[in-house]
Amino acid sequence: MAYCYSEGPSTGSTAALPHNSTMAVIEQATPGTTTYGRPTTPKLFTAQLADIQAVWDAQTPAGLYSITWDSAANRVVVATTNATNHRPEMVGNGENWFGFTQALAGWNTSWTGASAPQAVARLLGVTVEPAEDWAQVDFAEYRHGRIASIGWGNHQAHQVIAYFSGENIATMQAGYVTAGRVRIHQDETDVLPYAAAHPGGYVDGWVVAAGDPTEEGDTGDLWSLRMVVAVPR
Amino acid sequence: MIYDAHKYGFGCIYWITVSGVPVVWIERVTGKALPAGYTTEDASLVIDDSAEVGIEQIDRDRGTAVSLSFGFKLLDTAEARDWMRRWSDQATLTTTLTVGGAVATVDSTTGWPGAGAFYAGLERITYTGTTATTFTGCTRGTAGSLAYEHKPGTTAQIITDRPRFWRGREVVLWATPVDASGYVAGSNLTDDAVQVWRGRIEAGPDRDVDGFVFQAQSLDRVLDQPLATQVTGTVADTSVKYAAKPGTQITVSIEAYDAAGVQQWAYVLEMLPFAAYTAGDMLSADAMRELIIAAWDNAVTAAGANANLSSMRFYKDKTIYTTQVKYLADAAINKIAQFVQINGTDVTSLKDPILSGTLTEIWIDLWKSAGDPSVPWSVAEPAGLNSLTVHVDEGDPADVPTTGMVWLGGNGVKYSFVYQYAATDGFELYLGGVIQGGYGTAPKLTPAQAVGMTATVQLVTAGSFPTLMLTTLENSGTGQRGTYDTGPRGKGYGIDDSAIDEDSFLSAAAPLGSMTGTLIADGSSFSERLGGALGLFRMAVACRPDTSATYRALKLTLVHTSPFGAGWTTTIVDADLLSHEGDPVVSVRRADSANTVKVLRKVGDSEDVLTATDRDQVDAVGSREATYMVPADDRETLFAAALPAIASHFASDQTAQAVEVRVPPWVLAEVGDIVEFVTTHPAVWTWNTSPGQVGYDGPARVVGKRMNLKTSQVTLTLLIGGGVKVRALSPAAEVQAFDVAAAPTRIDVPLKYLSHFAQSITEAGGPVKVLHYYRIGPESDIEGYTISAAAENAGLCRLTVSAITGAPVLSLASESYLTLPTVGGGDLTAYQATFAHIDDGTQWG
Repeated sequence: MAYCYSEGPSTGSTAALPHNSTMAVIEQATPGTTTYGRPTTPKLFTAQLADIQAVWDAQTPAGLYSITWDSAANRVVVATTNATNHRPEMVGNGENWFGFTQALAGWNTSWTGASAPQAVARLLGVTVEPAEDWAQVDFAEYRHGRIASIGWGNHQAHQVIAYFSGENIATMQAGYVTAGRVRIHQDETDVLPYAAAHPGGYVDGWVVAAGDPTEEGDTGDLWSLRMVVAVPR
Repeated sequence: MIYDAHKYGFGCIYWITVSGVPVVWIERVTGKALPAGYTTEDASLVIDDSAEVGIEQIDRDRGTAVSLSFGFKLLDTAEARDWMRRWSDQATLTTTLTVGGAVATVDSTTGWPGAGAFYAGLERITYTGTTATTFTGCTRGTAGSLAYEHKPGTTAQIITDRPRFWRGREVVLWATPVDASGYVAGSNLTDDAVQVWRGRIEAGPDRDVDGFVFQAQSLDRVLDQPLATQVTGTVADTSVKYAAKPGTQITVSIEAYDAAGVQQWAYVLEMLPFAAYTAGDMLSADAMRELIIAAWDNAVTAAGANANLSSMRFYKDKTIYTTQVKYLADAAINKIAQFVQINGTDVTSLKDPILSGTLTEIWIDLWKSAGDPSVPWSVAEPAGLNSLTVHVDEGDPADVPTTGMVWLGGNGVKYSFVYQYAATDGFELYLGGVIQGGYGTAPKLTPAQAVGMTATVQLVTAGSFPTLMLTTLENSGTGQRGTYDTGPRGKGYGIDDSAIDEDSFLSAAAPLGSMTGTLIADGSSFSERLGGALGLFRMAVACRPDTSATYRALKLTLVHTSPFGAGWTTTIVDADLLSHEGDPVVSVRRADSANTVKVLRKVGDSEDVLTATDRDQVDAVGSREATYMVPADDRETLFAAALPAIASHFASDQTAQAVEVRVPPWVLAEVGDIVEFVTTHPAVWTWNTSPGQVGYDGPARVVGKRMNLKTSQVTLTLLIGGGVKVRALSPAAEVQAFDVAAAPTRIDVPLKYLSHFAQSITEAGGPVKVLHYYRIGPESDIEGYTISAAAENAGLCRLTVSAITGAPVLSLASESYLTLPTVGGGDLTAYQATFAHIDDGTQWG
């Protein structure tokens, strides 16, 4: 699960790099009014959805909104709980980030993204190696050239191998979940971070190196991707 | 800031603009709207081969930055090839194209399109129409180029449809953010973009196997380039000269009457003596008189008056010349009447009775009053050296100011003159109203001595030091670069004010900000002229981002270079240090600090020297001298300000140290900033708290910043008040052998650690404690050994164990290590304290 980058005001159509940190909504009753929402600081994908909902609410549109990620279906759902007809609007590359890749037209009380959001990838499994001292990490691999090459001091690194099905290759290759700050859950229900005493917890850190998807076996359905994730000490 | 987003997976696309070329050279096509004036984006840019860019370090004594070059390649695309080809259309300017000229007159426009663009030198000019010999509707200085004057008779007269050369063109490297999926935010390429580097092409294009390679130098490197502002030549003549007026018309009417008043003959003589000259040509009074005599002869002949009138001559009466004309003696003539007009204005009107037929001369006054400058031919050459006619060998006579100073002589004796008037005639320079004087004890020159001497015109600029600096940066002769573009071409670098942070200069604090000085252009560079003043007061000019400007535009900025200052822009902590390519903090060797400082005040022939010495240092290490040349007007003001500045040098330079720190690009520190540097890294140690404490916590001045374009990794050079040690990581000795795993009496480690353990034991005066840990395992003082001796044994360092702390178990399989120092326990020696370990037991990698 990736963190969105966000800075600047929480509302309005313009902000620094507003491509995937913003989602807007237009209501049928007031089609000339667009209500924008974005977190003012970078947020984890799920926290971002809650933030957008909160920002919308603060602007008191007619609808009472819920923005959720259906983890089972791996879709983002925007809906009103008071049957207000509306239409979400994607800003910048939001259509891919949130998964609303369909043509958004007309009005409805509930909208479900046509695609899996690229901000989150479903894994079949994941192995997380114990934390290594920073200097021992070999940064031989770089993802997207210069994007994922920064790693800094006072961090420890985990070697992570993510296993996923072929249908998720596009998401893994899109880059959001394999670059920058991410959270990797070994168990979706485990809400504690990885620690020596809790090795099944999630790893929340920065991807400082990542390889390319590698096919496991020859069925075409199991793939893996190696990453080095840096976590502050 | 786009670099903050790097933490969240963003990267950036680099692109460059080259002045005068309306193409955005970029790493990949984005489809975004391009900046105004740019018509296409071409995915041909390769910057990954470039070395780091930025400022390696400021030269604090010379006041300039030591900046790094930027290398880039344009791949062999159709667009790139089209711009690298030889031009297909060419024309030649036939008249001067002034800086604001909208019509360019050339020999022929045959073959040129009806509208388009052409290049004259570094400037790109668009036009909307043509005639047979002109380009009309010209818009000057397009696609980032700057407008300036182009003269026929120089290489600037060549006009082409493609750049004739690339050297000297400004290059700006931009970065536009791109997210982890490759998406470029915004609708314009410049949305969220920042400038990364700015400079000028110094070499290229050089052909490579797959493209064209360029090298460019940073904008601030320009300040070391000499300015070719000298105008020198040889004195050819010392006579007083006057500007010719070709339209000067002299009309003389002469009538002769007999005694009865009957007119015997009459002639009207029209003379245009200077018609063969052009306005501005310089003529001496003697030359004018000769021209008038010749014109008279022609007029007499033309009027058929040769039977009655003869030649004219000038007659000198003290300082005035009058004219005499002979007429042929005729007893019948009793009276001569004459009327003289100059340019239609009556000068004289006279009817002279002739008392006898023997008078054969008449006087014609071709002047109205003595010393009338409108008729300079009436003035006698004054005594002494009053004027200089110089045949210019170097420089453009047009750059010479109308009043100023000139030196005569060579490397030996120099004679200084001021002049009141200057005029040019091609490459001939005329200086009038010259007065010898000023400085020195040189004897008065005679006109005869002056002829043949070398004359050097002094191009002088006076004002406050900020003004002098800005003038030197902006002067282009066009008046278009900014407020301070007031001097002739060549007197400055012609840098546009959009690339200069003028406020940083104008807000310079006293003493530099308020002191006045005088620059005499002598072919020296900015650094040579003003670097001394900057170095003395610990300031420098560097190319750095203007953080408040759009795109964080890179500008020449006046910055401080002293290691101390109030307030800091950001804090750099351990977590900001990049460690994956090696040690993130390394010491940098600085030049030895001076202990004898000379401040040389020098303006023209006037020189004063102030010398200050740190006597203790000189006694100890000998004299290390630094000289700062400052062109200040007032001796007392300069020296009063210099003394505390020098004292500050002596006080801080002995302890100021430089370290290089590798950090991510989102650390907002720019050259000249004060930052707070808080680190536990052992490469620095705090000098002003407890002795020998590892790490540093205090202000630091950023005196260098360079970036690896491929990884965005930034290396800062910091000047700090602490001391620097060479790398002193705690020795972590891999255990090679031991006698008993659980309770050893001896442990063998590699021989290279012998000196460390032996030194520790020596300093402690007895046994020292060492820690035991497994590789990658945690360290603590729970497990360890007390070592009483260290000695070489069979190629290894053998440590003798005298006591055991905790229950360590040595293991070769788990890779046991021993390390210094322990923490706490009272046995921490000064030697051990210089190592990398800190009191939480963590280690540096």
